[in-house]
Amino acid sequence: MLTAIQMKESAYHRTAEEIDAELIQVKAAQDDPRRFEPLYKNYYKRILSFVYHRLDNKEQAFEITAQVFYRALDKLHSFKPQGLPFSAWLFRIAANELNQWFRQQKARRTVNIDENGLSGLKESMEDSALIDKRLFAALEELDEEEMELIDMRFFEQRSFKEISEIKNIGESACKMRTYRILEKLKTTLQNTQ
Amino acid sequence: MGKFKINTRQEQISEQEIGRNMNFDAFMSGYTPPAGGLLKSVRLFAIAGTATAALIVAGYLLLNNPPAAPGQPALAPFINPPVDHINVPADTYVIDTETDTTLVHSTGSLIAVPQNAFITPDGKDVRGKVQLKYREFHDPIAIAMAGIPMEYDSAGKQYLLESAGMFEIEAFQDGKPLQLRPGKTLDVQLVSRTNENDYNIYYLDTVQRKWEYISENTRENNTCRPIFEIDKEKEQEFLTRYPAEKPLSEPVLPGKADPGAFSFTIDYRKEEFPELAVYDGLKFEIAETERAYDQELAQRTWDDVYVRKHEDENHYVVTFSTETESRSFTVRPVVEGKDHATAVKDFEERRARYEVLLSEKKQREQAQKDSLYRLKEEFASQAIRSNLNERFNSFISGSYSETGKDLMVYRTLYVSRLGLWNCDRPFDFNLYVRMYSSPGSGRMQEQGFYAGRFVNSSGQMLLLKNAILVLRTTNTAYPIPEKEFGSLSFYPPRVDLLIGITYDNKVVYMKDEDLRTLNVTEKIVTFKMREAGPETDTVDELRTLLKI
Repeated sequence: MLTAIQMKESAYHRTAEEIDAELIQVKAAQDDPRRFEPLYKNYYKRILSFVYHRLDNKEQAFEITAQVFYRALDKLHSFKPQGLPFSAWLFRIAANELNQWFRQQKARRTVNIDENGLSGLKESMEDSALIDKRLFAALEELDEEEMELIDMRFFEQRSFKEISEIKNIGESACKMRTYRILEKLKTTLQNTQ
Repeated sequence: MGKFKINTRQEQISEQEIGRNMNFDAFMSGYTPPAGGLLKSVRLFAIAGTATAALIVAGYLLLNNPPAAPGQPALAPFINPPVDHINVPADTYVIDTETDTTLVHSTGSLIAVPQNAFITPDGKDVRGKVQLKYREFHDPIAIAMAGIPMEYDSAGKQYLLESAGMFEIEAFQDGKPLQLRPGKTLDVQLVSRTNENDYNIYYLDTVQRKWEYISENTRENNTCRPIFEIDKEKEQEFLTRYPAEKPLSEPVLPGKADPGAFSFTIDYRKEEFPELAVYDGLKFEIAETERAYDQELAQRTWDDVYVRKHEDENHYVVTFSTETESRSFTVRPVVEGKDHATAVKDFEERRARYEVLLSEKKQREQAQKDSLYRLKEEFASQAIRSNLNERFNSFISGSYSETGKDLMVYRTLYVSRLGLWNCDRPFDFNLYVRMYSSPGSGRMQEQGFYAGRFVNSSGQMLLLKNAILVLRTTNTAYPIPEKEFGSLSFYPPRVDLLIGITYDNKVVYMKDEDLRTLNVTEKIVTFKMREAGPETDTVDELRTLLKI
């Protein structure tokens, strides 16, 4: 049995007022790209962190981060809020840029795992005695989409709400998929005992 | 090889590395907009959002951002009053083009119009009566409500213009606009509330949409003079009655003669050097520092000798000359040793008498100066009473309370084109009023941004089309368009007044005492605005309400 997935919510919660204010910033930047500055400064570190988490090279991370913001500026006129924060839209662009980069470079996606994320994942799998090596091997068996969900949820510690917005899927569907991936991981681990 | 690269020891990125890479200016310098530009027709809020506030914002943004017409978007007028019904009214003067005319405006400004000064836009002569429309702007409320742009670009740097007074002049015949005939100028003596001497003259080019620098406006080039100059005849009469006193002769203490130094006596004019004439046996001794003196020169016969006081006040310069030659030497007055003690005693007595006389003289001169000042005052008050009307009195009174009447000047502008003219100086608005995220750190500072929310006294959201920053001390105003409300960067305590214009043309405002208390460390700053009320529908009433 898997334990309930209980992680503290990330510092993601956005009030309607904040979303409202951000829309005004977006509108300003749509009229004049130079007014993109507050959005750029507000999100630079978060996008950099998102990008670098999927790479193992700092310089590439900085380059792709810049590319994400250039792409965002190019597409800004087509941004439609749909009640979602601007950050979700930016993260989608970042994910697309990364995927494109991996394809072009024929590079493998890096999964950067720290102790906190790992212990969170192990706790979610009930049997925390499982050794890291077997878990890493099980992770290798996941497909891209599955790894992305596990990565965001456990290693980036994002809330389901945020993940659902970035991935453009419903929050309950997001939870269900994560649950199934954890089941799959556990099965793999049990089979390799 | 697996599909993923598992890494458990990722190297951290330091704040310094992030700082080096996230510079926005560097980022933008590498940005090339996609073909077709970014300013496409924006349908930002076309789809229903979540928050009610967002929907309200969406509504007014859509209403006020209709899809752009093909080609260039239509530009708003460059002089664009934020509210139609609250504007600075123009006075209309009817003049005869056949004669020279000088108009005295209600503020005391003088407008000299030469004959045959106007032509039609297609170059035809204009005869007969012409209507001149003239209005002035002396305070930031007038500037703001007239919608006059005050931004000024100098060598790529953005400034605001700090005004010492501004006017707009237009001419019409039968309702049709006229132009000035090339070569004709209107001489405008604009009343100004500041006598500072470092303003310039600018003309607003509404086609190029920028202020054009014309010239300096200074006392040195005779385009800035006191408004209350005394009548020249009265001043001369006064000066004749109280002629300037001769300067007092300050006693000089002669040195003690050096037996080893060269010295000589001169038969100088004693009335020219009364400070020396009092000493018997006075000689001039070649100064120690003088290297040009040659004893051989003393043996020669000179045609003339001339004495003057040295710049250091302690020495004199003696010049000997013939028709063909001239030699000058620095000398010091001396008396022989046996007479020196007497000379010192004499000097001390004379010095004491001199101090008393000097003090008395200064008192007399101050009394004369005061009398002259009173005469000027009297002249000024007569000028007000006799020449100018009640509004001018009111204008002057207002100015006195702020600046004192001695500061009032006439600024002369030679108007070669009809339109808006300004006595201004550039003011580094960004440096003064922009908010920085790490003030005082000594490092390159990042500009701070926040989103502005405007609410009324009941906390209800206000939909503003314009917010205007008013800076009283620099006599200027800066309108912030609605599209910038999301990334405001001004520091409210530096602003004297914030005026907002709602989409239904109501005036709301926030005074300096309220602006000072705002917390600008938040991402969103709420501006709680007071409403001006329907009874405030003129610039004068608004000025009174806002105490500007």
